[in-house]
Amino acid sequence: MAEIGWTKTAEAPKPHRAISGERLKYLIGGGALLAAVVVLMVSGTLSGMRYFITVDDLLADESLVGQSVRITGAVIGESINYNPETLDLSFTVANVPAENDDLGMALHLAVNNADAQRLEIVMENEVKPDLLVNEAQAILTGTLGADGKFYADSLLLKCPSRFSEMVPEAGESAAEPVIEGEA
Amino acid sequence: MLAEIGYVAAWLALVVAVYSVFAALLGARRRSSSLILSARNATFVIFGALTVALGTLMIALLSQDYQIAYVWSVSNPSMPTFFRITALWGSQAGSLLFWCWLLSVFSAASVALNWRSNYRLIPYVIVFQSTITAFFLLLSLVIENPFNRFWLDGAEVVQSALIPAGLAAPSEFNLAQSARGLNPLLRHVGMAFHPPMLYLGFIGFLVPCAFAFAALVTGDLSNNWIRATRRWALIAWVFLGLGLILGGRWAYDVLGWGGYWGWDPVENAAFLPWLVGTAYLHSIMIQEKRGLFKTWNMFLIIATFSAVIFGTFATRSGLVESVHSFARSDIGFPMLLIWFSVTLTLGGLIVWRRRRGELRDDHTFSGIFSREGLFLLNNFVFLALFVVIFWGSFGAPISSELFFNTKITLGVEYFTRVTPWLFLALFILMGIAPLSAWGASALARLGRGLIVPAVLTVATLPIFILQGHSGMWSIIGYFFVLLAGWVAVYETYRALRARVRQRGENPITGYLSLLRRNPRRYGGYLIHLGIVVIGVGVIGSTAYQQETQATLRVGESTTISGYTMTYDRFEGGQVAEDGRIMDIAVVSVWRNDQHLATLRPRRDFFPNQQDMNSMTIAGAHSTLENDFYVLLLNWDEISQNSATFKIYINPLINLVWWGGLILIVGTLAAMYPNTAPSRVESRVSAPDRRAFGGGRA
Repeated sequence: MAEIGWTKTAEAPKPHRAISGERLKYLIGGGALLAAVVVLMVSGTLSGMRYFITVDDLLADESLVGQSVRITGAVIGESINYNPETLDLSFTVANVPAENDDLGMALHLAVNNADAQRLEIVMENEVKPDLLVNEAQAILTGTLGADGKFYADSLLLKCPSRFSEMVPEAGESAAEPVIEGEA
Repeated sequence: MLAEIGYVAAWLALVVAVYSVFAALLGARRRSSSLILSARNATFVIFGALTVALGTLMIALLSQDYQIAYVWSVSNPSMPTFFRITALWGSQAGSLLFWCWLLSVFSAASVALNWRSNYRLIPYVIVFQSTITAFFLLLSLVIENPFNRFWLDGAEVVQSALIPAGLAAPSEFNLAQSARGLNPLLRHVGMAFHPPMLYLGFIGFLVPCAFAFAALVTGDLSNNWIRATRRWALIAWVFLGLGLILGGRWAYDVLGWGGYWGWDPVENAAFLPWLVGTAYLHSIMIQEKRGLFKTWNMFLIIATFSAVIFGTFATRSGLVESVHSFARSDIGFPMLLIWFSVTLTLGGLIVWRRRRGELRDDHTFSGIFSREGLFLLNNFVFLALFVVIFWGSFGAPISSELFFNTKITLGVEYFTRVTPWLFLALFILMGIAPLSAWGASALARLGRGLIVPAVLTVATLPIFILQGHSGMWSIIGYFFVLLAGWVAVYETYRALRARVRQRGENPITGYLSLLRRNPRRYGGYLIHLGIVVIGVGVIGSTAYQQETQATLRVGESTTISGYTMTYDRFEGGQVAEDGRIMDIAVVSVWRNDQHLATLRPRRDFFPNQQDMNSMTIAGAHSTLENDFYVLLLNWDEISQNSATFKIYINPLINLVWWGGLILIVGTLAAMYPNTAPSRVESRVSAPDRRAFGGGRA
């Protein structure tokens, strides 16, 4: 219902004390809201938090057995085992070093390196994703069981072609361009 | 020849962009209208040159010039024309050039349209826009050149945009044979339009931000920059929203997990600017009506554009692990640099102007239940959403790596735990704020205004409860979402009723003239309604999704929540126009012995693709009530007698898409030129305004 003034002069300056009282009210209100958001964030962070580590990291630290973690590894194509009737899915991933310049190449090397640590992944009630192919990067959330298998409840995949779009698979035809990933 | 034309045109655009920055700066300093004119014309030249560059890449795609590496990597001879066109933004290099072209479109258009009306701001608008354009062009030409071609260097193939001395081109036949084709996942109408929409949304915010920059530099801190860019911000906002919805639709149709939003970092990166942009669109109304929050609005638009650059950086650099991200690329570091410098420069300008006392508000703040008070709360919630989503997607992983040398990521649980509260708060505010008045409003009055909408809400709630959506939290959610919707509908109805009574207009012309008189208010209500419809769809489809799986022999059936699905037959090995081989299961869906639909869930196989070569396409029967969504998981290769299916019932999911349509209509309405001077209307005291149906504008 208040009349709205349009110019600066129409507004009578409020006494200083009144403003600071108002201000205090807003500060307390604002502080409470802010605190509520922070509490939400902290509780959410605690419930959703996962270490994001490599296969090597996971296997090196026994305290991580049974803890929910997120790992990354290179999918070994021939290990993929899938039963579409029960939706049981299992496959093996090889360790991919955390630091690498060319992930496509790192994935390729990991799969073909017999010395790289490997980890068997077990998933239940999982439709086999179309992206689950040899040398794909798998990002898995789950826990390492005492039996040495990783029981994953979520799987995110990135296809090698997403990393090095300019590299066709070698050995298809001699005349084919073999191109470095650099564009 | 094509590559040379495109390459030269793109370089020309870059050189002219750099020139326009200096010409505009010098012109503004020396008050030289000819230099400023020259800078303006330069923005048109940039647009022209980039149109030529983009055009040549398009022609290369259409004419299948596989010697151009980009064409080779995103298309192949079997692709239909439509996807050849959309391949333009199918991968990093092409989409970066497309991005630059859009930058030039927005720059040229905003300069042309504001040339007379905002002459004082224009030079600095050009400086900002051309700097950004030049930066992205430099990235495109130096790091992700779309015009690189293949050359034979002995046994090796090298890439170069220009013809290297002594090297020959590889055989066209071999190139065509080995061409990659567009990633199968991207061969979908949703994916064809989702990137351009998103880009339009992202880049659209360039214009308001450039004007804010110009206002800060010139010291013209009146509402001019806001008036000049309100529609630009609205355009950007609606495109961004549409891009997000289309992306969700694509995920729903193509990724085959029955959902449309996965709280993936890249999805979130696109959502973040939308959140701050929405806060901005609300907040500028306060500055225009009450002269408040001047610093805050500057901050919001800068935060929006900063979020745009950060989102682009996060998506394109491979910073985060995501299904959607581009290939890891060298453009990461330079992009981080521009993000940092743009944000720092603009932030510094705000601090400078504020310290000089030039961003002081015209009025004092008058109570939390005033319109401006509720808008401030709305801004707070939007920013809180921004902060929690940013923290979950980028903050936590990056800071844990920086400070603890271990990478921590936050799963979907984080987002589903934290964000619903904030969304709920937004819908509550959406219900109350339209009833409040500028300056001050009494609690009692807010309460009175809520009575009818609350009754209507309670009357409509049983529709959902009877569907079995009776969990406590979802009822609370539906209640506040519907309340916001009914407030919008009822407020519009009251205004319309007053008009019809007083002027004897028929309801349709009455409504149209309401929109004309106060497009921002009644367009805004339509937008609210769109968001409400989306909100209802999100609650229903998230909380009450049902799924089952079954292996059926031909003729057998399975049931899920009242539906029966029968496996009729298998159609294997169908070859589509683009060379994909489709294995289709034909199923029929029944409800209460009534045949509803025949669906064809299928599995597509792409023989030319090396890596990801198959795709599961769902069959869906869509109604307003729900989607019957079925995936073909597997089948007996030999007898083809039995197949395994996964079925989802996604309640109310179509409201998400329909809400998007309402959003567009509402935004178009809100952009309509205002025919009534808003100040005059605002001066009328509140009771009179009610009588005129003007509400509390």
